[in-house]
Amino acid sequence: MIFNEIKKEYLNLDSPVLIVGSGPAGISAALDLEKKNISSIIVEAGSEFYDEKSQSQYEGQIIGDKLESLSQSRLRQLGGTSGIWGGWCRPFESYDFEKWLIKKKDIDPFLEEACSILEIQNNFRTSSLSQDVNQIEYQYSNIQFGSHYKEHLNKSDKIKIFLNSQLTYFESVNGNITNAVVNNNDKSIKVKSNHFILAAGGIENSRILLWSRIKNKRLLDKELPIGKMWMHHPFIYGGKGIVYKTKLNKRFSKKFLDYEGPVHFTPSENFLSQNNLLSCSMHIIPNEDKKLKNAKQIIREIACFAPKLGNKLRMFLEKKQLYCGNIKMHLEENYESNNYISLDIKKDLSGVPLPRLNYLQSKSTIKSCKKALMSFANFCVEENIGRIALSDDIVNENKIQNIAGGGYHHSGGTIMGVNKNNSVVDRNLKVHNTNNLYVLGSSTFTSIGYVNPTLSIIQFSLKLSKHIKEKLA
Amino acid sequence: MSFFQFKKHRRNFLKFLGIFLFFPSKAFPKFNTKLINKRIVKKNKFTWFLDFNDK
Ligand SMILES: Cc1cc2nc3c(=O)[nH]c(=O)nc-3n(C[C@H](O)[C@H](O)[C@H](O)COP(=O)(O)OP(=O)(O)OC[C@H]3O[C@@H](n4cnc5c(N)ncnc54)[C@H](O)[C@@H]3O)c2cc1C
Repeated sequence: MIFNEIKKEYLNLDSPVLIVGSGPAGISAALDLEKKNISSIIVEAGSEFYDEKSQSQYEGQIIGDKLESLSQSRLRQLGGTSGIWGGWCRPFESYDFEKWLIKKKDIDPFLEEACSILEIQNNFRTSSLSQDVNQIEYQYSNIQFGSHYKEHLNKSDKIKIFLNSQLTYFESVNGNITNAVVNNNDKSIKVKSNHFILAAGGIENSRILLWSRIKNKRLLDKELPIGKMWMHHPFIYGGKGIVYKTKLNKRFSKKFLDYEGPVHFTPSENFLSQNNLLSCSMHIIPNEDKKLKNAKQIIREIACFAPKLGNKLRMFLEKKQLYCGNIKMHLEENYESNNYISLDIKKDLSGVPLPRLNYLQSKSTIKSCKKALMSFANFCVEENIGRIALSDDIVNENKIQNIAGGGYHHSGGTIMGVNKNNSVVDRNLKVHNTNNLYVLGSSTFTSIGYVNPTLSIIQFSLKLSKHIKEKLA
Repeated sequence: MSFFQFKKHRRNFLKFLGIFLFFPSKAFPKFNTKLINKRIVKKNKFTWFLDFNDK
């Protein structure tokens, strides 16, 4: 059931799990717990629909390089940021887990179920185009968790969602969380439970833990690197170019490539490990604009220095046999000591300090991006698959100015690891040195690879739900 | 050819002869065919990777 405020009469009922946040992470966990016959309460800071006042509580300061503002890169309402997401889905690669405590096989069992929550096919093929370059397949989900699951949640007697209820901090006794202190319509209410799951998104998870540590010195170890090792995927224009559709398909006879959507490439595992690089993905969206303005512009440019080729390409474009457009890239980032979340002096309406994000682009990311793009450009010429141009920012390894949008995949800040010196949560997503506080979402990711995070976030939600079921048994 | 030029050529020739006799593969380094057929064009803040036959 969904309520606009906290109903005290429901708090006394036996709900062994309290979830903070109703985004993909929180709702997926609640849905799976429901299947396992376990009741949960979700406290959600936002309301059912977009609300300007509520969204303004999502502001925060960014210091350093340019990123999308914190109030524009997430959504504070039922369903969380899935209300504005793009729906691109692909699971992590096995090599993404190199630094992790767990391996891909540990979350693979939850992939099928995660796909069904997102209503996508479990089909993520990889086609090796050369030793260095792969073509990869994404699935695209249309699910916005708020609107899509609202009816189900409203009817559910196992899930209670309290809207307009902002968790401010946790209280504890001897490492056991006893209460979540929630601000509901300007009243502070203590909500008890056995297990607390923080699923408030890639910035708020750190912010809430940082504030809880200040409010309650014995709750969280002062060594825990909360807010540190923050990462995201710079989403950039790496270059532009053309790829011959028919040549690509004929040569590699991979029929799955033959669709109208974006065409995606990534450097191979071999190429990354041999060159010691971070990973990235590249994609060209054909027909980005209906009038092919951009495609025509690119071909006109080629015609300036290769007129015959330009003419040929013009014909290919007319026959719709060309992927032609900007090359957008998601880049993997590594930990940088400059990149972390801390608390500001300014506070929100509930008296919680606003987040402050320190962020600088990393040199290793830009270097990796350049090498990957050059290898792709070389591959295109050698195999006569297409022609690629790199932007000068990338060639000169400058700070990337040509941002395609983004800073949308907030990750790290409460990463998974062995102990409190290098991580915040353990392999079961439990905060070190606590008994019953868990964190869900990309803030726990030890590394972020190149893939969009939400499918993996949901796999982890299902894994945690299984773990809690086992604990309760 | 001046005396010094002659000496320099002779030195280079002897160096080549030595490498050729002892490390024949190093005397003729493999041509990087991957690089040789590429044409780089810089235009409007972009660097194009083209084939030599792209006319
Ligand atoms: C423009 C855009 C495009 C994107 N496209 C993609 C994509 O194509 N593919 C992909 O995989 N990912 C994409 N993402 C990222 C994706 O939206 C997130 O990975 C995903 O929503 C994270 O889920 P979450 O549940 O962890 O956090 P969120 O979705 O952010 O949900 C957190 C929830 O917690 C609530 N909350 C916050 N603080 C509190 C508090 N103190 N108390 C109670 N509740 C609280 C919030 O209101 C919110 O409902 C995109 C993001 C953006 C902004």
